Amino acid sequence: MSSSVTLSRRRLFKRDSQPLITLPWVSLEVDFIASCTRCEACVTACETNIIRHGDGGFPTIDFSQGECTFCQQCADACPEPIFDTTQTEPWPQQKVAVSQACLAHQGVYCRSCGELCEQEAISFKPGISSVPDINIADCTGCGACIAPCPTQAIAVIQTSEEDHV
Amino acid sequence: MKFTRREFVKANAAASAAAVAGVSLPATATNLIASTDQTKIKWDKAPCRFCGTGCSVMVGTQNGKVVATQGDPKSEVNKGLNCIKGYFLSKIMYGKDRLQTPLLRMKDGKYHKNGDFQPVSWDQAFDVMADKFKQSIKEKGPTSVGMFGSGQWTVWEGYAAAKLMKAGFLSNNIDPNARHCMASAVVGFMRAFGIDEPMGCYDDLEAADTFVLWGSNMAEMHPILWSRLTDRRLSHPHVKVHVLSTFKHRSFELADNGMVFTPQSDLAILNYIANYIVQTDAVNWDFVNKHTVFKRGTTDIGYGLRPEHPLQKAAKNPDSGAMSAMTFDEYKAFLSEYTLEKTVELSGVPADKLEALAKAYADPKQKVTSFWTMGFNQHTRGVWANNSIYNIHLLMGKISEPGNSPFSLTGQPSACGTAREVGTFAHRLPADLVVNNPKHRATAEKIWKLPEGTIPPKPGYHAVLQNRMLKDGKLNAYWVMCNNNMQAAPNLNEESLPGYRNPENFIVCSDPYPTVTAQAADLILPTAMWVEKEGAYGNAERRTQFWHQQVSAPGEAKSDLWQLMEFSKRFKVEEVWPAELIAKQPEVKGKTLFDVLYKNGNVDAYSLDEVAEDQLNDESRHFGFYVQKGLFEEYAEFGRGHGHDLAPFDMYHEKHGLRWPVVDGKETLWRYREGHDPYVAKGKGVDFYGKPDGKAFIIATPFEPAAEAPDEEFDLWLSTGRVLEHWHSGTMTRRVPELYRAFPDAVVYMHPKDAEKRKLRRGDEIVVQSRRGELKSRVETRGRNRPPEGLVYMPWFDAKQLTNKLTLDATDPLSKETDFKKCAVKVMKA
Repeated sequence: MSSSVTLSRRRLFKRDSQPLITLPWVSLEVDFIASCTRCEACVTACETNIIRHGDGGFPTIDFSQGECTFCQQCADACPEPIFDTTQTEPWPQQKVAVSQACLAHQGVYCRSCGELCEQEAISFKPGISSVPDINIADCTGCGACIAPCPTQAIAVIQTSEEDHV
Repeated sequence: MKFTRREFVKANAAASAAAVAGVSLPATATNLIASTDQTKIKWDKAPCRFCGTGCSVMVGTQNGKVVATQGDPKSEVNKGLNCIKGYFLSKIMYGKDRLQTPLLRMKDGKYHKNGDFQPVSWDQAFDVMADKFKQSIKEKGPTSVGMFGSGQWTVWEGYAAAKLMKAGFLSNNIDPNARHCMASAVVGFMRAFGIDEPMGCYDDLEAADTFVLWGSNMAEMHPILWSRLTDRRLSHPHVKVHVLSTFKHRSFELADNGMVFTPQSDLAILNYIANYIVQTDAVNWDFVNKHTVFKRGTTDIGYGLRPEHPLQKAAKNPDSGAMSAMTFDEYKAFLSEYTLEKTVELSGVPADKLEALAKAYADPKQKVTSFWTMGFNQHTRGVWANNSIYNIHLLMGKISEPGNSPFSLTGQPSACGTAREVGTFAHRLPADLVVNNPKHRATAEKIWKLPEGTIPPKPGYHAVLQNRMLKDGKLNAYWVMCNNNMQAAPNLNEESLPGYRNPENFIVCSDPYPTVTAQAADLILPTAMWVEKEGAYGNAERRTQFWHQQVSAPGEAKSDLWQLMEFSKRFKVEEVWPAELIAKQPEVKGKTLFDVLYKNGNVDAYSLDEVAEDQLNDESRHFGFYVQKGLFEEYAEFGRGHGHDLAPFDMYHEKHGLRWPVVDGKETLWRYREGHDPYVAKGKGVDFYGKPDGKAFIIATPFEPAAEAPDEEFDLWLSTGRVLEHWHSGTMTRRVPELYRAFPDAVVYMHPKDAEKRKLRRGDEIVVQSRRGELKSRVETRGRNRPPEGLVYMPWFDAKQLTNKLTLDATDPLSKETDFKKCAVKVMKA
């Protein structure tokens, strides 16, 4: 472990500390940082071009560019034993959450995010402020709701606290 | 939202830097500015630029740019709320491709119809343009020039335009894009009440027990009014909402009784409800006897197509709006065929749902407000539909009082205030006067200080006819202003584009951006927009709202008002008026149209002293008098004392809008009702004073089929419309990055089974084809609109996917408004 990078420690010294968004179906048993060779096979394979270079050259997901279609081509392309597509969920530790920056909190009728959710996991409380309500059980984490949000109020968060600084 | 001081300072600096650089920042950063009073931002009110709701926003300006907007908490309309479009108003003026100089099609340094656009000065632009207009008038007479205007013009722009065309060029060929939008509502009002616009107001939203939406998706198209309706429904459990449409949409989320009906069968449903009221003897006899008369409308009136079209030839009484008297018993007999069984069969709506709707109207204890928009108006029998809903409200006396309101919602921000009240239609004059009435013409000529016989008596070409006449070479010099009619008008391939590119014609387009229309024109004039000029809009509830100029326009862009008035200086009266007319008022000799129309002692009556020194007002400073006030006060003379009273000019700058008639400084919330409307005499109770005997018309008209319906080859209905995020043709909203991202490209909403039949998956590229044209789009089987099998819905905002290549130019024969909701298409994989 001593040779691998501890990203959470690295972020401690950076101003802009975004939590790492890992790729789908990364095995929970694997130390991603230790196993990934940064070969870019997954970056090239991604059909929606949302896998990008992240911190330290490790691949990460940028949902501002699009959504994950769960095509598994990243997993198929990876030469290392990192992915486990037999896992029931692509992202057991990540979910989407809406922050207070959501325009509905300011009396603006928007609803852009709900429109893009294929699972219809986002519903709106009717009334003056249609605040989005995400049904986490239905959320696949595909990220389709992130790009259209005009205030960038939707983000992927870690459901486990392990990676938090 | 909590910010540390450090974050606050950072966000402020970032936002002003971004605004100046034209960069888009997350909206939270811009709004942070809006919520503080510690900055140097200047705030002033303005109505929203977009829809007919007429929300008021506070506009924040800094260093000559609009940097923020927020809902106006003092506004009675939106009470501080905004929709997503309104929230991003601050960005609509700062698209990268904003036009800043006139552009003329040129070859070898000269105008050429097939030349490329090249920048020219205003002088050069107006030289060529005036030449073309003069040549046209000289060779073919005044009917060869025309103008297509807008329900998004300010009040004075519409007024100045109507005056220039009707009294200057002596041509009634001026029509607004409101023809595509509200014309059926207007004719409905005129037939039933003899006076235009709703009797009720938005306060009905807090007073009704039952709401019925007819062909109106308020949740997307009037979201702020929808928020108010939702609030009423949720805080008062007895309130019920009925929603009727040809497909399921967002408004169904709140519906207690949602009904998807077969296109065109709304006519049958309306008559079924009236029949139910009559059959169950629920009629409010006291009201009906005192305040209504029964009329029979002429039937088999055609579809407003070209006269040689087979459907038009087949019609017995094409274009006839004639009515004859009928008794109640005859009306009852007429209605009797609209039984529940027949209506279920025609509409496909289950019997229990139709009955629940009929009962709500027939229950004297329930206050019912009906809302409708384009589903009724864009309809080949749109006038009939409008009148049929009035029939129901009149039979029950549910009208002109809080909560009881047949309410025609408006599409555009000033379809009421400008297009309708000012009368920028081919047949109208201000304040409901019409050109074919000699007394009305005389009134206008007197106010305008012009000789008798100035205004031509024959109505001009309406919107759809203008395109046909351009194609046929009868309309040759044409000015399109404040609209995007190439994208908006029906049947683009056959009826719109050929006329614009007809070598005989010269087409001018005034717009802030290079729209589809601008690109099809010969001369493009760069235009100042929204708060780059002083303006006034009138919304759907008769509320007139003013705003001050708050920033200057970029480059050489000039307001529509400046363009109209400055262009009028190019014409000597002798060049456009016949000698006989000049002889009637010899003092006009040698004068320009500017002198005769705008320097007439009325329009130039108010001096620049009335404009505060630190107040921007580019037009007034250019012309040397307070043009907006002069135009408004002259215009207001038409309606004052005649039921259309507007308040004094200055009052509107102080108030957050007033609903006309404004008599003695007091606005009118419910017209025709004693105690609310100053025009109803004491003891009368109700007086429909638009009619000579004070009685409204209940008009019997039947179900008649649509102009085009699906068949074996073109097997789907196509309905077109808007989406929440984009305003009309998207020329402003698609240039706001946040709105673009929220709904980037148009899609075709389709039932999953229809998609499956065509081997289509969600997101697949498709070809949509009608008898008139085709386009490529993508299929959407989820999301906000859920059409039934056999119908597809497509929004028309996308310039890359010109929906109107598909539509048919069939109109309501009475209102001349196109039916954008019904034509037949087929869909296949691309």
